[in-house]
This record gives sequence, structure tokens and C-alpha cells, in this order.
Amino acid sequence: MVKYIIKRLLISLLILFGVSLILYFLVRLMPQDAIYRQIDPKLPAEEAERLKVQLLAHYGLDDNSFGGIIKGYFGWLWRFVQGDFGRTLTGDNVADVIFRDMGISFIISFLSLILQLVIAIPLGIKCACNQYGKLDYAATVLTMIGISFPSFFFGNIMIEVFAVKLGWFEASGIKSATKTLFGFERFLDYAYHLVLPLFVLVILSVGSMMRYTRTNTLEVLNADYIRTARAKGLSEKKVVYKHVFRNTMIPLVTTLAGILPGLFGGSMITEQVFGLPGIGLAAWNAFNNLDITFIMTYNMFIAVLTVVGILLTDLMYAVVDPRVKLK
Amino acid sequence: MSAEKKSHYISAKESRRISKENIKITKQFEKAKKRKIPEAEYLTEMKDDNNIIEFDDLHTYFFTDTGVVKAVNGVTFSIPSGSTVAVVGESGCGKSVTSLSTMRLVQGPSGQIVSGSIRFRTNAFRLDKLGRKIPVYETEMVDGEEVLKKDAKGKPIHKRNELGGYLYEMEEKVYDIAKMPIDAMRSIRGREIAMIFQEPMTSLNPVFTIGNQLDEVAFLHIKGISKAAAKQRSIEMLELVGIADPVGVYKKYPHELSGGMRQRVMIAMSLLCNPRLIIADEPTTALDVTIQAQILDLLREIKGKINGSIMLITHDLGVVAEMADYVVVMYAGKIIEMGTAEDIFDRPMHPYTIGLQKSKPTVDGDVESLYCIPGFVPNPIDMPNYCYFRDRCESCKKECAGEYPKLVKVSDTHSVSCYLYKEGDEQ
Repeated sequence: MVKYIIKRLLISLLILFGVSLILYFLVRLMPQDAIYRQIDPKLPAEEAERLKVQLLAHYGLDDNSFGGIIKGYFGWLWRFVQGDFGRTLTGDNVADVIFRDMGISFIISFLSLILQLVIAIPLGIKCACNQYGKLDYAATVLTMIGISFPSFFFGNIMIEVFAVKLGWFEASGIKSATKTLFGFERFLDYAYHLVLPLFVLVILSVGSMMRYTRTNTLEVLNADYIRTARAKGLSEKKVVYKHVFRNTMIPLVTTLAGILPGLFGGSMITEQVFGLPGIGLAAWNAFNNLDITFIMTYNMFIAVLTVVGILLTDLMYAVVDPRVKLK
Repeated sequence: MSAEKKSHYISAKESRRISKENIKITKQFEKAKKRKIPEAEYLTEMKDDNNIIEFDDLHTYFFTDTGVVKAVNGVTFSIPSGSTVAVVGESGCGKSVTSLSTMRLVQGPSGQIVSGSIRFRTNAFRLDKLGRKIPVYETEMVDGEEVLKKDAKGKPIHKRNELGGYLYEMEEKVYDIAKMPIDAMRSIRGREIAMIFQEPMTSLNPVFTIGNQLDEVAFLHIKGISKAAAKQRSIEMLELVGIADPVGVYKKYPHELSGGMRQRVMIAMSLLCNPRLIIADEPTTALDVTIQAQILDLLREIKGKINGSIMLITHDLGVVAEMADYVVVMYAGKIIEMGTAEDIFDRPMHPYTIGLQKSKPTVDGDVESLYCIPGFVPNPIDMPNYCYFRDRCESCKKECAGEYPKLVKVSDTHSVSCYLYKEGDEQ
């Protein structure tokens, strides 16, 4: 097991190297508008030219020959592995920004994940047990609607209805700007602001997990060993929640791979729609302003999370399925 | 019959209509399965007290979108206690559905027992007026009189059996399984009737250990049994079915065992509660020949040990010859011939049974090619109203154009459903 993990970690390093190489080249392919944007158009031409050269050199973008790009990449890589992630356009340390904004994104994603699991898994199993029943049809239709909505559209509709028209919730932000609150009241204030974004996140993604659970449960329900379990005289409850559930869990664990980057990486569009100061919003702003250092670091951060997520999934497989042996 | 009429295709409109009707019908059956009814409604009497189970005009249908499939269409036979009855027939003749009906395991909502009864003599809990089980308490002799033993708190002590399970007052009852709600059926499944399935490779849950799956049966049917006692019992059973390292196998997962070993585990599981009837649904079909012989030997051996009966479902006449006391031959959902093993093997009467015997491969005969019965089984959705075997039969008579032949008793033990024979023909 330990040997397997070490082997996988070493392979992961190789993957990350490849990912970073591609990312860097893609970033270099972007038109250099980022630099021009940072130069005050009112500056005299000579001054602007001097500043531009200086900035290009600062980002390692001055030499656009192949050798120059390679040199730039390894320069970036060297600083990156040393833990120097560079500074954003506003001059903040990128690592600080990511750590500062990660917390809020994590809380939102984590809460929405818990809600999704709590709703999707029992609902999926219930629907499978009463296939083609009223609940099954209702859940299918509603979740299909949820899956089909784009997040910016659904988010804005929710804001329009519940924040603007009805005025039940705040339209954006994470805390009330007008009041300074402490302790439990402050916590309630946060919770109040999170209701709408959480609702949107859960409605949008609960459907796929529920459908997945339903399909898997249906498959397991028809297995021979479920008939054996019934032939023993077990109650339907015991059959479903012991024999079926453990087997349904096996494919569900694969979805864990996608969860980890989502947990820490934030949800770019929802955070932007609701103005939540999470890492997703920071990334959104960075992309808008072509903040190269931040984009590189953010993408590498997501890449690391993805690789670790996949590794965790494989390890989880060995935990839930005794037939899987990791070598 | 025109070519159009023969085709099995139906229009989408027709299919929708059928499926709508099916939903209506199956909903009622599913409701009946779940309802709570007093025991009296499914209590009945045996026709012959020597029998352990009697099937009486059993009909099990599948309501499919293309029409009703009469998988079991009026089956009547019985299993005398202590005997082995083989149900033989080709794939799709309804033999497995008969066995699943006995366990009430026919896959709903499409599959339902429509009518008929399955009378089963069972060792059931005696119930008091409120429908509760009556516990047996420890007694002791005081001054020549039997009085209840009390514990420190003055409460009577619940008597336990040798396995540590609580004892309740039991009595012989006859249940009509076809009318039982599933909740009540659960106390018979695994305890009084156990089933061994065809596919040992997939019949055990892959994510639980053998021990876990065996202990479950003991925990379920022997109330109050301790963990250690359940384990002890499971290991004993594994030993009984000839597993060399029962303690090791107890801890293993199904995928770590071979097919033969898994079938032994399945048999051990079925024996755990000393059932009166073991249904073996093609227990050797998925196994190779040497293991087949071992498993059959094992089944014969344990039948003697538990003093129960076996209902053996098979299409392998070799297995039948080796195991069975009585044989029931089924064709397209109906019994066409039944009798003792000698009757069927030495004096087969129905042209189908004769054909089956002929199509058995032999090593000594100098045969060019294997005999096969010509033609096909009729479409199960619209069965003809004459003999189902008529179109394949080589010895058709004039009467065969008439309605489906009744089962006639050619001797005390031997009956056949064919116009070629008359009552008492064999004597």
C-alpha cells in the first residue's frame, strides 16, 4: 500500500510537470494585452515603451523565441518549486490571496456538498426502490430541470425573485456592510447571506448525483446476491440499506475525484453572480485582467487538487471494494 | 395461420395499452403483498399429511409490455416429506419460476402469482390472542411441583436452546404460501425453506465476508443468539459441507473462493436453520463435472442429516437419475408427465419425455449425431389451446386437435398428459 502510494505520487509529479508546461505555453500564446493594459495611456510614448520593456522582463515575457519561452518556463518553474508564486497585479502575494480566499470557497462548497449527499443518495435509493412510481417521476423531472439550468441564469433569477422582488435575502456579498456584528449574530449574518448561493449550487448539482445513485441502485437491485439476501428472509430495509447500499457506494466513490478541486477551487460563476469573495471570484477577476502570475498559480493549484483527488479515489476504491487490491 | 398473425410484433399503441392494463393489474397484486392480514386468512389444511408441500393449480404470470407470459400455467404436484423431487424441463419451461414462487421471490411488479395455492407444512410460532409469540420460561422442581424459575429481579427467565437462542412455543401449521403477505413469508424464507441458486459466482454479496453473510441468517432466525454462538454455528456448517479450512473461509470474501467452494458456502447458508425443504435451482449447472458430482453427493448426504426434503430444479437428466425419488417433467408452463424416477426413466410415456431421453448424449452408443426434438416451443404470449407439444410431436393422433389434454393417471404413481394414453394404461 505504502509502496503504491509513493509510486502514484511520483507519477503525479510527472503529470503535474506536463500540465504546467502546457499551461505555461498557453499563457504565452495569449496576446500581450495584459501588459498594455497596465500602462497608463496618458504616459508619453517613450516612457510607456520603457515601462513596457520593464514589465515584460518582470513577467519573463520579453523573449518570444522558442528558446526564450523554454527559458521563461524553467525560470517560472524554479521560482514555483521554491514556493515563490509571484505577485498579483495589485501587488499582493499570490499565495496569500489564494489562502485568504480559499476559506470562504471551501465553506460554501463543503456545505453544498454535504447537502447534495444528504439529498441525492437517499432520494436516489428511494427512487430506485419505487421505480416508475410517483416520487421517481417527480424527482426525475425536477432534477432534470436543475441540471439543465446554466448557473449564471438560475443564480440571477433567484436574485431577481428572492432578493430584489421579495427582498427576503441579500443580493450579494457575504456579510452585511452596514452593521458590525460579533459572535453568534455574526455567524447568523453569514448563514443568511449563504442561503441563496447554497440553494443555487445544490439545485444545480444534486440532479446528476441523484440520477447516478438511482442508476447504480437499480443495477444492484437486480443482482443475484440481492435475491440471495431476500431468500435468507431479510427485511426489505435490511436488504436495501446493508446489501444494496454497500454495492452502490462503489461507483459513487469515483465521483469523489471531481469533488476535491471543486471543494477548494471555488465555483467561479456562482461566486461572481453572488459577489462572494471566494477564490472563484479572485480567479474570475484575474482572468478578466489577464493576471498571468495568478492564473498560472491558480491553475496549478487546481491541477494539484485534481491529481490528489484521483489518487484518493483509487485509495477509496480499495477501502469500499474488497476485490480491489492496490499493487 | 397467415404470416402476419404469426409475427410477434405489436404496434406501439397496442404495447402502450397493454402496459397500462398491466400497471393496473400488478398494482393490486403488489398491494396484496404488502397488506397486513391475520394469520387465519392463509392458514389451510394439507390434502395428504405425508406431504411437506403441495402445489395446487399454481399460476404465475409475467405481465410484459408485449402481453401476458404464463410462465407457470396450472401446476399441481406435491413433495412427500423426506424425498427428493426433481423438476425437469428445458429452459423457459417454468421450472425456476415454480421454485421462485415457492419462496415468493418472483421479480415484481411484472411477475405475480395469479391464482392457485402452495400449501406448506411449517413449524411455526404459536401465537397468543394478540398475535404475539409465546415465550418458554425456565422451570424448576420445588416440592415435586414445577414452578417458574425467577431471576434476581423476580422476572421469569426466558429459556434458551443449545445455540443460545430464545425458545418460543411452536406448533405445526399449514400455510398457503401463495396468499401470504411478504412480511409473514420472511419468517419461512431461510428458516423453513432454503434456496440454493444456479450461479454461485454471483449469488454471494462481493463486499461482505463469508462469515458476515452466514451469521446474518443465524441472527435473523435464532433470536437472542450471541455473536460467538452464531460464528460457531456458521463454522460448523462450513465444516459440514466439506470445507477443509472453515475458520479461514469464514474470514474470506467470496471472490477469494472457487465456484465449487462458493456453492458449498451457499449450501452451508441454506442449512443453517435446519430447513424442512431445500430448493436447489440448478445447483450444478455452473460447475464443472467433477465438482458437480461432489456437490450432488453433498446434497444427498445432508438430506439424510437434516431429515428434510429437496426440490431439485434441473435440465440435466443425469442429475435426475442420480438424485431423485420423484420426477416432474414440465413443458411450456405445464406438467406433462410425472411419476417415480423408475416410471420416468424406464417407462417414459409422453412423446416429449421420450424425446428428452433420446437427446441425452451417451458414450457407448455408436451415434452419428445427437437426437434433437424438431421444432420450437410455442410463443409464450399467445399459447395455442390444443396440446402445446402437438406441432413438434411425432406421434400425433386425431384427438390432438382438441383441447389441451388432461393429466391422466396411468398407474398409482405415474401420470401423463397426452391423448395417447388412458386411465390405468400401465397396469
